[in-house]
Amino acid sequence: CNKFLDTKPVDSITPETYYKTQTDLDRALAAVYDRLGDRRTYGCGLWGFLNFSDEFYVKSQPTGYMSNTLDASMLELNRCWEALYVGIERANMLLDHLDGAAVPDSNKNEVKGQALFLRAFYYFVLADNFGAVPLKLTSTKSPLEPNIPRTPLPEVYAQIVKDMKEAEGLVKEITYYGFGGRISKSAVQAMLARIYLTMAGEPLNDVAKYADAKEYANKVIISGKHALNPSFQNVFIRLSADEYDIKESIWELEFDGNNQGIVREGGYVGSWMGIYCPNIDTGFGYDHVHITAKVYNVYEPNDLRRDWTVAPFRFVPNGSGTRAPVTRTNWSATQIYERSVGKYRREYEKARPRDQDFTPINFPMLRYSDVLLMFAEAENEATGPSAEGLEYVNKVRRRGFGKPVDVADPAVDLPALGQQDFREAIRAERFRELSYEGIRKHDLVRWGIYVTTMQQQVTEYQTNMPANLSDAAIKQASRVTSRSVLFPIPNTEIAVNPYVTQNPGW
Amino acid sequence: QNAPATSTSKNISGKVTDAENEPLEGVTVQLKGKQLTVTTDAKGVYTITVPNIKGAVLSFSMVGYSSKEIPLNATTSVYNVKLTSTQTDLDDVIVIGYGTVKKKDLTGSVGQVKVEDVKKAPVPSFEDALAGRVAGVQVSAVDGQPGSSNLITIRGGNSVTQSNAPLYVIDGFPVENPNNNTFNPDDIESIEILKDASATAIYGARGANGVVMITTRKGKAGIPVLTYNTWAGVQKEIRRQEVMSPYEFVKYQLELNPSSFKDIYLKDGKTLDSYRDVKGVDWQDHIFRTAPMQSHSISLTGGNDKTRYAVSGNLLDQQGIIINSGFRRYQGRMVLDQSVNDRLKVGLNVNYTWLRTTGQIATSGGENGINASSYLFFSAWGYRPVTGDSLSDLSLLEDAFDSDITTESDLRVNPFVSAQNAHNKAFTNVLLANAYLDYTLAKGLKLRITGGVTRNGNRREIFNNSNTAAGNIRTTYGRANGVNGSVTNNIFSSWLNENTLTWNKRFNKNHILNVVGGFTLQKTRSQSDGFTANKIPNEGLGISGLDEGTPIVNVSSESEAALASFLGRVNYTLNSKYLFTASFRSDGSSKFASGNRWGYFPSGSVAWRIHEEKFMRQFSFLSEAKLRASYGITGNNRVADFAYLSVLRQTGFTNGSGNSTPGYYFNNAHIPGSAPVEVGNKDLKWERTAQMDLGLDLGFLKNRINLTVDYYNKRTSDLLLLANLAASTGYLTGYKNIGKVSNKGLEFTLNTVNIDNKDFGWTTNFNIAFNRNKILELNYDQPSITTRVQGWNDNFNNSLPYLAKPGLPVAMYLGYLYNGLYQVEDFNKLPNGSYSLKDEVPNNGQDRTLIKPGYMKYKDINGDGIVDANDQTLIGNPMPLHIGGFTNNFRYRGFDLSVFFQWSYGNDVLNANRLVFEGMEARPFLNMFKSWEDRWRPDNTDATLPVAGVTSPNVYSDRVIEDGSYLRLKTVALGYSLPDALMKRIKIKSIRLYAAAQNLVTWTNYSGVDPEVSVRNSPLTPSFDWSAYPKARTITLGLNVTF
Repeated sequence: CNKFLDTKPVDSITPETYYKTQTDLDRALAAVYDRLGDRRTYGCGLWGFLNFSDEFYVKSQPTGYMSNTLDASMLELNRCWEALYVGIERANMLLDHLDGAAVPDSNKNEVKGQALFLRAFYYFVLADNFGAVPLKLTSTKSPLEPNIPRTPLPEVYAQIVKDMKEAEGLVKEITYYGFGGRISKSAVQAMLARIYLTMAGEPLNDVAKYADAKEYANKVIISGKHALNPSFQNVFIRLSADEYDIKESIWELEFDGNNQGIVREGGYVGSWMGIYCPNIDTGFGYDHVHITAKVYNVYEPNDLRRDWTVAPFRFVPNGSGTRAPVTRTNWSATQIYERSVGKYRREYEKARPRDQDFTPINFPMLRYSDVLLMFAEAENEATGPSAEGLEYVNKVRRRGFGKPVDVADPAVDLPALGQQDFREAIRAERFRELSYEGIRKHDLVRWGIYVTTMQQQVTEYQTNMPANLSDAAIKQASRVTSRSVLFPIPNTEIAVNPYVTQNPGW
Repeated sequence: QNAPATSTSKNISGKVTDAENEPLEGVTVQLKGKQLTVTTDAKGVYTITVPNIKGAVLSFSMVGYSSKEIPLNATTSVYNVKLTSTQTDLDDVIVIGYGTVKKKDLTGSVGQVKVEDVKKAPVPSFEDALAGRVAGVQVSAVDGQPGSSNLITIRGGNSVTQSNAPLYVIDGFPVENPNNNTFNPDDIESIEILKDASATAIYGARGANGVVMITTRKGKAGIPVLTYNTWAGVQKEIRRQEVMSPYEFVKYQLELNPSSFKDIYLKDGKTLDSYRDVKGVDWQDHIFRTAPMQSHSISLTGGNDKTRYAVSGNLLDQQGIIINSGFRRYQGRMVLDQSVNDRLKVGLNVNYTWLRTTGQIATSGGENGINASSYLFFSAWGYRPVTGDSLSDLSLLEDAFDSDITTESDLRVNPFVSAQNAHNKAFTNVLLANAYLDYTLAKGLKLRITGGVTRNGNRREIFNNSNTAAGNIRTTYGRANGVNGSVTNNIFSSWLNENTLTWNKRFNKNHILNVVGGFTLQKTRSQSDGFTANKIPNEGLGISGLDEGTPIVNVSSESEAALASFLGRVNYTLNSKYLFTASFRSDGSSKFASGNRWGYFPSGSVAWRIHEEKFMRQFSFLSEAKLRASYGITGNNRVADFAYLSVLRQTGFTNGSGNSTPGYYFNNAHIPGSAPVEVGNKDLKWERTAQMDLGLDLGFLKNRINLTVDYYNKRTSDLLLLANLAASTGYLTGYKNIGKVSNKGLEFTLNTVNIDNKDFGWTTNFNIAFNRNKILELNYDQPSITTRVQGWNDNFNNSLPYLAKPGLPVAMYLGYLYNGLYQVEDFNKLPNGSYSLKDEVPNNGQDRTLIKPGYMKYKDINGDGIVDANDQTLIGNPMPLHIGGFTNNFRYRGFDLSVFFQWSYGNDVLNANRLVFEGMEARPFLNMFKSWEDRWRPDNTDATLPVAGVTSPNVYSDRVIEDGSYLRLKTVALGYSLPDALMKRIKIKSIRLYAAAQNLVTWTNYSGVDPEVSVRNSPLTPSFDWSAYPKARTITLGLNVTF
């Protein structure tokens, strides 16, 4: 009788029977990467509507989920938290079962290193946005497992660093892969630099970590595997055209296709954050994530990055509908606030036919210029300015002005500066170089100036913005208050986990 | 025998028995016309000395039996007499699990549906006529979509997240989720509803939600009987939602945005008054129709002592009251019973049904379904009645889309064109076949072996051509996918084998024993497959053109479950006064891990037929008095087939993020992902419901009045809960056995024969039931469950209107208290002319700066000056205080009349339609309900509704919680049977002509179309009204002919 009752699932796989072959491991690992591209993580939210800063506002959205109206019940915020923990669970599940696989140890290590990195990265995003979070390092075996409380922030970071360092010894070099979509040793090291910088700033203020940040940035620099692309624009053209540049683009998030087939892995880069265009075939751009004049004005004259980052034109339709012909039309010199983000341009997209929403444009997670700037910042904070740090900043600047990267150019180069001035210079340079790469809010928070910056931004909008645009921007920015350095812990956790406390002010 | 020849005095003796040869005690035996009387003893024996035998007549009488008179003769001295019971109702045989029992011997609570009454309703399915027929059985419609199923809950819902539907046992074959539309109501012989644990525990693991026993008609020995039943009639919507006239609509548009709408509506010298007499397009006129419905049933029954047969067929065609929707059924059944010899009897019962439902599903947003505007009634109510171009507006009727609406997120579509073009068809094939073998092993000992198969195949076709919202490039979905369509096949099959031994034994006259024991095996298998295709080049080909498109989602899945059971029951009757029943079932289910696989479900009950006691003789008006008590435990295993296992999956993800698979691109090459998606619970076990029932059956005046009262107390523990998990586990839900729910209630059923003459008869049935449902406990980590209503309107995703919390019913409405409107006095007028809310006036959940005079206020319950989620409170209860039904049947000579009322009292309904159509979705050109006329204007400040163009926090409030109580004159049937004399002449057994009406009148205060609605039905989200298919009023003429 018991045999009769022993039915076996024929349509699904259980963890006990999986994770055996190389294919099993590859697929399990792909699923860990997958949550990076969720719409509420880096698919959109974490460079868009969940990442408000002074570099953008969301056009025409005074209310609704894209208007910075956050609370614990907000669906998109809940989904963001869920996506990150789903990614962690997928990594935990893989790491728990990896040892039993019938593949060579070197292959296991390669998989393990990536899984450890991704788990640590998801925790980093959680810690960065939500503060102390429940730290769970094994997979869930049963719904009856007890809930876990928030792990103190230093312990979360300690685990992130531990995992990242272990990953560093396991993953392959970027040159082994030849593309930036995989986690490579450079990606781990550069991410460690970012993590240490974060730990050194708000809210942990563990300033000893500046030295570690410098060390890890330096590891990438001295590896000899990386260099700046001579053309700033080309970095983004390659992202749009699905061409790799492993020297510059250390880690990029891969999107592909037009979401019109069975596999749907397109993203919103270029459409939700892109040049306004009402024609699908040309490359539809909603221009939801919309520039601020502050970005435009941060560039010095002749800095070529300005008119790439903030597009000087848009596509004007002749007729109505999404197929009406459009004309590329320049903005007048005074039309600043009207302009769109220009970093990701759909004209370079290769997938056909183009989709209105979904693009194959990859998103830059870690670029070499960031590493150079991190080195300079970490060193300046740890031991004060040095010629080496100054040179790294100037390399980034020279490239921005279209000059040869390695040739000193007094017209462009920063002079030697004192620690405070150099700090400000680096911060401004990061703004110029890295806008619309999902990093600005993170920088402002760790520098401890997020709230004040956004309050100034409200005044800026009230003063300088055209009235027809300002309503949404003012509302979005003015919703940033002292509590906004962290998101609320979402309902999907707090309603069922009594051990989790809410963040202050929420 | 030596009869005394000389004397006329004689000793007469004999035995009085009932129809089953049971001795009758206490029968009055009287010499007619004399005082001489004796009574029978416990063995039914009497002795009487008759002084003069010549012409003497003995009369035998007893309450509850028809009297008999026996003329005596000189040669006979022993007269054995059989009395027939007048209590035919009590002698009714009731179908219970694995057997039958006489109603008088019943110890449990079983509701019997008066099938004859149900059949009088002109409805496609018996379900549609079941509401109000049996106390404690709540039957309600989701909405009026043809071919949709009803929700049946017996004695309140036990489960919080799992199904509360009862188990169906169809001719002995347990089926968990049958499509009751497959039955031809004419085929149904009886419906019994097992309510208490004593009755349901024999179905053990699946009995907790009650059991509906359906027995189909068998052949009867005798001359063949051919019947033809037909009816045909029309349906019309009961009620329409009133919307604003063209004049009112234009007036509103001009208030909404005077500058831009002036250019549209007041061009060419038109003024607002130009629209006063414009008829405009009444969209409801175009999508509703008076829809015909007809049914034809034919059956042939007959047989002899050895062979009996019944063959029947049915054709039903129902056109929906919305154009291009409908339901059709073809059905056939064959029943054969054959006695092979004295000991062996075999039989076969085969039913095949083909169903087709067509038409846009009103309660589904289809492929675009997260946006309110994608629903049928959003367009049917909201599509504008008039454009500003001309006053005749023919183009409005013809164009699939309103060219003035350019917002992409607005999926409004010409409801007339859309309904005409909707291709949404479901085809269902159901085969039910079962066979039995009865073998008498010895006297009183019978072996029964049954076997059966059921196969339910369902095919759904959806085709969105360019005249539908989902297939037109104007919408996001249509643009991305082009003309698109899908085909999905679901096949559900199961087989069952049951083997039972039944032993009937009487030990002298005082002890009657009935013992059943057996074991059963059942296996179910479900399969589904299908695909979707986009960008279909030749839309004229319809579904058959899918292969030319781009294939998208391929579905292929399969699962199975097995159940093995041992069962036993003992019925013991002592002195025909004391009845005892004990049953036991153990079920093994494949749905649980091996350690928790077996569940044990005992029950016991006693009944005391008080009126059989001697001391009750004095109460001669009381013809029946029975006390019943039962207690037992039943189970529920309605979880996914493999809920105890964790699951990895590679496809089938829909998370709205564009990532439909868990894979990733590396170096522009896709690697499919494999991700854990469900976390299994190896400790999962049965949900257990313990139920106590106390019942009293009373009969008065030879059972012309029957009253049944039941009190029950159910407690469900180890609740199978699809519990929310903390997201940090990596999963949002998981199955747990946690929580307790209680249902307590009272049920009354009163049947009376008011008048019963040769020419005129009047009977009444009244039943009423009260149920109190309460959560006793949820898991510790989850103090309450709040639930959002998904998919109806994404603006409301952050508001959760349902609360489940210990101490309260399983679902309560949660929300804000509507507190009227902001008036000018609440504001400071700023120098620039705008209004700024005074500091002491609380906001309404949105930014203070957005609030203007005429906006709605919500109560600041905690008084902190800010209206936010902390100001939510309980705002309504969807559970009724009582439900019931009231039937009166009249007969006058050849005429018969049946009048049936049904009600639900004290339940609230969330009318979400008003959240959109009372000004809140101020989309351009969107028409509103008539009630929107009473909106706030500077000259109408005491309005009930806010100002035109109001923005509001998207929350639920008590403003849209309405009393959903109703009383419905549900069925009226008037028939006339042609006189027998005429029938004899034309060699027809009988002809009955009738007129019948369904849903004739409804009395309710509900402002929506119909209060019997639950478009997102689940235990946690009942009674939600949004874009429901209206229910129809049906009027038919019918004919029954029996040859």
